[in-house]
Amino acid sequence: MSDVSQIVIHIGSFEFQLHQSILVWLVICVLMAIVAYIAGKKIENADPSVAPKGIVYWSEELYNLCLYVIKGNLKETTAHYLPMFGTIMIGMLLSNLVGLVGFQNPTSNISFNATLALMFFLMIQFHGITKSGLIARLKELTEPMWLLTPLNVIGELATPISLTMRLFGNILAGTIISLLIYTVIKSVAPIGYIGLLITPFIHMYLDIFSGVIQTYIFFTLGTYFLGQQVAQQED
Amino acid sequence: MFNEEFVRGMAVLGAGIAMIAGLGPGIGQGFAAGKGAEAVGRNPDAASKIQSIMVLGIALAETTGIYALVIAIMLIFVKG
Repeated sequence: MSDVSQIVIHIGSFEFQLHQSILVWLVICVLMAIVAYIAGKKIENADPSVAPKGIVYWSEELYNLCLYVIKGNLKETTAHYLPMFGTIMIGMLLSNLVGLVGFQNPTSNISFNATLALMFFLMIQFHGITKSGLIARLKELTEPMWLLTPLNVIGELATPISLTMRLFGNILAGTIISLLIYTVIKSVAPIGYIGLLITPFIHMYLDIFSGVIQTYIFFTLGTYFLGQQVAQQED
Repeated sequence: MFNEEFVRGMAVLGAGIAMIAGLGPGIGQGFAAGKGAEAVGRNPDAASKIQSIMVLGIALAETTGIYALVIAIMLIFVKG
């Protein structure tokens, strides 16, 4: 597995490195596309009068899960954004859980997280400007008084950075901590093999719990800031 | 200006100092969990809803600790 840690592509004198985490992400994308295609065919032929089974049932559950995460924030615009956010959400969930089978998490690569956070940032700014115009958007930054403008600008810029760092730090810390525990177990062998009894719980917390919660938080916060611009506020 | 060993030692020391930030999330998470237990005691029917809100709050409070951890990891692996 360590042999495919990275692929280097040479284009002229330019070196282009693909790390293992990005290769894993590409594989996840292809697998997701195949599964989604099969599920789509199955759903087209499914009989609505009988209870769904197998892949149809699972896709319905995943659909409800995605709705549950983003519906509270996006309100009436949910249907417009669901295809995109749902896809990325399931992809991120899989890439947080792929560490369980021994691959590098794509989310432990900072460029992956930064791309998604930057996507949210650009969407928020684009919708903020198209909603009320550039002048009104700039004026919003001087609220409640002009002295606070630098703080407001920093607050806007902090959104993508905090989204990136939260996910990156959690997943990378999980990887490093489990690596440290395995190193300790190996260095005090054979007594250390008793320690292997606790490693399932370490993986439960660091990979499964942390990964799922961080996916949930990433999309809850991202859609919260987006919902402030696109959805109607009830007040 | 400084030699290599001094920079490396100071970077590792800085990583250790950065992790003092772990105090904050610890207090915050404990507070959130305590309040959650209190709320369940007052209204046991809403336990599942309280639990999901509490987990979300705890994971958000963890953020500052994670920032410190990222800084520490950077100091160790980039300068150390």
